[in-house]
Order: sequence, then structure tokens, then C-alpha cells
Amino acid sequence: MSFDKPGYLIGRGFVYTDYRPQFPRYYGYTVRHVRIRVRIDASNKSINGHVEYSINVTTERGYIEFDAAEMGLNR
Amino acid sequence: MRVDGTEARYEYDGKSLRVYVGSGDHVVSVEYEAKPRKGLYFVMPDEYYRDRVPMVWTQGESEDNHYWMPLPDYPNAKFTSEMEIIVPKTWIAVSNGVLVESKDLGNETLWHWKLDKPHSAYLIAFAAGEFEVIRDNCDGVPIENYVPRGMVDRARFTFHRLCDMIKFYSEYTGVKYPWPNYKHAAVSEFIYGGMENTTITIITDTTLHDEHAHCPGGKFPCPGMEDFTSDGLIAHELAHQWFGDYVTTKDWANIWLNEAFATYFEAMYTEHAKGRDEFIYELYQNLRSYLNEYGNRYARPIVTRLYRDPEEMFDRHTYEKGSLVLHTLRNLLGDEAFRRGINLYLTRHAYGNADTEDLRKALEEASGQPLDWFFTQFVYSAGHPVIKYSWSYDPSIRMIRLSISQTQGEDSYPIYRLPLELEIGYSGGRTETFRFELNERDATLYIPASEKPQYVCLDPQFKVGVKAVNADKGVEETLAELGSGNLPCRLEAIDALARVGSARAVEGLSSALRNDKFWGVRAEAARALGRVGTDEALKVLINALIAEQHPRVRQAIVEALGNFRGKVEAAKALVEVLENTRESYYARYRAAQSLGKVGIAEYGKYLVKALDYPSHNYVITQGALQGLAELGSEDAVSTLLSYTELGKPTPVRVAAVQSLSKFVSDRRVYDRLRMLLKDPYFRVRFAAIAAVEGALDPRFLDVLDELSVRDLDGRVRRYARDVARRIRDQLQRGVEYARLREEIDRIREEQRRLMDRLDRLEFKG
Repeated sequence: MSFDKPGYLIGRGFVYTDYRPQFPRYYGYTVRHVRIRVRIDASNKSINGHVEYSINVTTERGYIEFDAAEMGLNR
Repeated sequence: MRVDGTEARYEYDGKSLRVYVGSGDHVVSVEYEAKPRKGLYFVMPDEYYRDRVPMVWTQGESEDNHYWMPLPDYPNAKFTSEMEIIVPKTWIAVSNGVLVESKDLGNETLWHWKLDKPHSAYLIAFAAGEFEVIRDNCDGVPIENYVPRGMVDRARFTFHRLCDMIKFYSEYTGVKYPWPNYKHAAVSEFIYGGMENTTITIITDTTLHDEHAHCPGGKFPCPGMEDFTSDGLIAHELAHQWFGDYVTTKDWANIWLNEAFATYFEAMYTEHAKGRDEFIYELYQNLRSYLNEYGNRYARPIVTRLYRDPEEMFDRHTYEKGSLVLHTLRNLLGDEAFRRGINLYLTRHAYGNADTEDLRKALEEASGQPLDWFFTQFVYSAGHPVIKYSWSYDPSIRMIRLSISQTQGEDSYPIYRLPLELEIGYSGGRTETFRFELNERDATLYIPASEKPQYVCLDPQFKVGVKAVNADKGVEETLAELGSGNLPCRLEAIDALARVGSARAVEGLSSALRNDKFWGVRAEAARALGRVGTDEALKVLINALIAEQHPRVRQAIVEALGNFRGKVEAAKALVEVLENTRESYYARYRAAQSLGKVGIAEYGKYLVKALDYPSHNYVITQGALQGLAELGSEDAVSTLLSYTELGKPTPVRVAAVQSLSKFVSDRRVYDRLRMLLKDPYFRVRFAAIAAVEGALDPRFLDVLDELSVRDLDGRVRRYARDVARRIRDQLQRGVEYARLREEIDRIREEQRRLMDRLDRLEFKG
């Protein structure tokens, strides 16, 4: 990747060639309040959780997304 | 998964949870279970660490909270929160905001905390475990400090200035502490020094310390004679309650708005509590730290969108350079306008997000000065000004001729606009200040002076914090500069004298070490004498150990003695410090390191003994390991390897692992390092990469490449990638070197053949 900019705008040695510009993420909803309950299972180093979000959805696409890594979801 | 109480359609791919819902107001609830690999950390007693106090804690920044709860994990999402944590009965759980209730559930307790002001997703946090709590109140702000069971006695040395800090920040910013309370939780194996979660800062328990660590050999408090303190950490994290939590960066590109302010306010609190010299010396250390990263790793604009992991942005450019940029701004605008601007920035974006342009606009409005040029050169461009200057005096016209240039390279802004001052020192201690603006690459200035000055010192008040200076000065001028009332001039003089290294320079450094009123100058003079390394310098340092009382200067002297390789006098002095239990832990730590550097094998026995000396954070053990590594015996390798094992305290393992770098040719060390690069403890993995960096051994490339992609921690990924790059660069240079050698050999062979032909032709002739 090449950047048509003077050296001082990029710097030296920080940017790898596979880097891409990063911009703020927007989620299509605003959260007013979250209530979280977690039960700690210390012996298994695990948790059971419940979150309740009060939100205002502004997107018209019909769905929203939460970041949630490596979880088991209960139906 | 429910939306407004009804089961809802959703999709989940292990990273992102998509919930099908139309526009408007809704209540979305999710039930889940998790065994988090990051974001939430269990520290429990196990086969290696049986005596551990059990606990669990979270670390959200930058984007790790979504490993233990579904959420929009980006700083521009702000909302109120409440947390119910169910923990074993013997535990206490603490979280953001105020405690609503703690409910007995039989074998468990439910702790319910609530914060009714919006804050960012990454600031949601809790810590739970077998804690004890110390309560206080600061001008109506309830304070609670949670420490692991059994550590209450140490808390007062860590938190004793907290209330003064809250008052100072409230008063300086004009924004009263903006949350309902303030709490700390000190936790084990924390992966940062501290984390400023809203109202509940989590800090490493390694900052908790005893009276001897704070006031070696004396009684607490000991203002002006402190050795180890938690002040910097506590002040930094507290400042975030305004800069970061109350007003939050809107994205990671602008993270300096959180971190530079916290770093600068930490220094400003130092000024408030400890005086001007301490403040300037702290900024001077910040400059060194930034220049070290700039010189040895990379240069980048403070605000940049070109990064991969947000963690890469949490570097010395963001913290230390950022703090120096703010300091420069404050001096440019004047303290009053700077304060007004900060107040405007905070109140305008209260409980919201901001970016750098918001800060610029607030400061412009408050000061009435356009600041685009300033932000362009210092925030949106990489590098810093490098100023070179020299001067001469022309008695015929009674003028100083000052030649001054900006010599920065292409990684820095081409020509900076710099408001500068010059201190002109005359005989008898008289000084004048000359102000000018440098806005050219090269300039020559003529400055009126009734007599020939003894010295000239650029930026005597350190008003332009972000810069490097090279001055062409003689020894006599530098010696005169040591008499300046301004700390930056004296520090510049010491640096110059260390480079000269003559007998006259040693005299000057010796005088500074004995007589300077500020401990920081005495410490710098000691280190400079170590760099000079002559017999006379050694004598001065050993004598100074008799008279000097300040624990940090004693550390510097001991550190300097490590430069006298093979000198028995140095070794003897170091053993005296190492063995003296009234000496500070940190001087003894340095003594152990230095004893190894002196390199006399028979003194190794003192280091072996010192492995078991008790100390704050095991620092003497760490120093002894590093000292043994310096000595480099066969026994040292076995000792180091044994201290890398699980079961040893993490700080000790880290010291042992880092010390392995010079032994990688030993098969045992090589095998162990490969294993340690995948250690469960982040700090150990990081230390293992540092060891590999020391050796630049290409056999580790496969593991480094794997780490740079797969490690859970962004800091490890970046570091592994940088070290792999350095190894490859070196290999490439090796290939180029081999090509050059071949070319030279070929030319030599050609020359030899030509000479042979010439000889034969001459013979025939």
C-alpha cells in the first residue's frame, strides 16, 4: 500500500503495508440504559449473564448488532 | 433472546450478535454464558500459587468487554449502567456508581451497583474477591479503596494524597468531581498499571507498598525524601475521571485526548504537591521516554487513523509526547487561557464524546488565538523539532550572534513555528531572557549584550516540551551553565559534560552531585559520572554514597557504579548497599544489577544470597537475577531458568525471562523461551519477546509470526511483529553483506589475475 503523502504525515516505521484507515463505528441505535447481571462461577472460571438494554433504534435496516465474543446464548 | 418481552429472531457467529428489530424504542434482553479468554480475568489459587487471594476483575479498554457481555463495544456509545454481581459469600463485588444493595442469597451474595450518568462501553467494570475496604470522604465525595485481604496496612501509603488530588483537579478544571463517588480496587496479575473505569479505577496490587519502600529507613510521611510512591498512578487514573470518562475520545485515533491529559495532569499534580523542579523533571523524563520510542521504534502523528489494533495507539507518542504537546500549548496560551479552554472543552462535551478538533476549537475560543498551525505541526504530523544552535560574542558591536537551525529529518514537520526563549548568563550570576519566534530552517539572530556572556541556554523554562536540542558548547560555558537557576539549563549542562568526559568535566559533575539543591540534578550528575567512567569519577561516586541521603540519588549512584567493569572498589561499595537492610529496596535492587555489570565472578555469591532478600514487589530478587545474568556463569543459566517457572511471582519470572536473551545459544534456554512465548501470563509473553529481541535470533521467527497474528493481546501482537521485522531486516542486511563480500572476493581475484598477467608480460618483456 502506498500513500501519496509527505513522510511527516505518515511517520516512520509505524504503519505496516496491510494497514487500512480506521474510522468510528456507528451501530444504528443508541443505548439509554443497560442492566447486567452476572453470576460468577469461580471454580469453572465462567459466568452466566443476563443483559437488558433499553435502546432507541434509528436504523431502518431491520436489525441491530451487538459485539459479543465466544458466548453461549440461551434461547 | 427477547425484544420487548417476546422471543426474537437473531443470528450469532461467535463475534457479533444480530437481533432483528424495527426502528423506535425497545428493550432487548440476552441470556448467555461465557468462559472469557479476555476482558474478564479469574485469579484463583491453583497448584502453582496456593496462597493467592481469589478474585475476578474486568479490563474493558480497548474493546474487550464484549468477551463477557454483549454490547456496542466502541467509545462513542455512552449510556447509564447498572450491574448485579453474584459472588461467593466471602467475596465483595464492586462496580461503577453507587451500591444499591447487597443481598444475601444463602451461599452467595448479590451486589447491585448503579451509575445514573452515561459513560462509555469500555468503562463498564467490576472487581470481586476476598477484599477489604477502607472508606473515607473528600469534600463530600465518598471514597472507597478495596485491597486484597491482608493488605490493608499498605493502603495508606498508596492513597494518602487522593483527596488532595481530587480537590486540585476540581479547582484547576473548574469542574467539580463529576461522579457520585470514587473507588479503587487493587487486584493481582493486572495487565496494566491502572484502568480508569468510571468511579471504579482498577489498579495493580504491586503498587501497594510498605513504609520502608516509601520512606527508606524513615517514618511516613517523608515529603521530599520519598522513594517509591503510587502518586503518579493514582493521579493519572483520577485525571481520567474528567479526561476520558466525563469527556471521552470519540474513537481510538484521538485517544491522546484521554491519555495525554491524564499524563499531563499527573505532572501538574506533581507541580502542585511537590514544586516546579519536580514538575519539570517529570516532563523531562516524559521527553526522554518519547524520544526513546521515536529513536528506537517509530515516528507517527499523535492522531492517526492508520493502525491495526487500538492497543497500538497506547504508546509513548500518545502519553508522553501528548503530555508535552499540552504543556507547550499551556505555555503558548498562558495558564489562564489554557484553563478557560479546558473548562470549555469539558463543560461543552460533558458526559459525551469529543475529538481533537473539539479541543482545538475550545482552546481557540478561550484564547482568541488561531491554533490550526499548532495542531498541524505537533498533533497531526509525526516527529518533533531538532534544534541546533551555537553563538559567539562580538565585543565591537556588543552583540551575541546566535546561529540556530531546525535539523529534523523527513519524518518530522519540515519547518516548525516555535516561540522560544534564551537565557543569557553573565558573570556574577546575572541573567537576561531573550524571546523570539523561530519559523525558518536556519536563522541568525543578533542580540544586544553589554558584556560577553558566560553561557547561553535555549528554552530555560522548558516551555516548548516537544523538541530535541543540540548545542555546540565548550566545557567552561557548560560549567557556568551548571550555575543556572533553571533546571533545564542544568540538565543540559550535565548531559554536555558527560559527553566531554575530561577531568574538568568530572570536576563539574562532582560539584553538581555534591551541591545541587534538587535531587534530580544530583541523580543525573551521578549517572553522567558513570558514563564518563574514569577512576576519578569512580572515586567521586563512592564518596557521594557516604554523604547522599536522598534514596533516588543513592539509586542513581549505585546504578552508575555498574559502569566500572572489573573495579573491586565499585564491587565492594555495591555489596555494602546490597547487604544493608536499612538501605532502600530500590537502591539494593540497583546494587544487585550493578554488581553483575561490574563483572567480578567472586562477587556472584552475594547475588545468589540476595535472591531471597524480602523487598517490595521482589525487586531485590529481580535485580539479583539480572546481576547473575550479567555475570553470565553456567550456574546463572540454571538459576534463571528455575525462576522462569510457574509458581514464582510474576514480576520475578518477568525479570528472569528478560535476562535469558544473552543465553539463547544454550539449547535449554532456546527451548524454554519458545515455551514462554506462549505463557498464559501476558507479562511473561511480553518479556519473552523482549528476550528474543535482545538476541535477534531467526529461529524464533515462526513463533513470533504466530504471535503477531494470534495472540489475544494487541500489545503482544504488535511487539512480536516489530521484533520479527527487526530479525528479518537483520537477515536481509546479512544477505546484502554476504553479497558484498562475494563481490569484494571476486574483485580481489580479478586483481590477482591481472597482476599475474602483468608480471608475466613484464617477464616476457
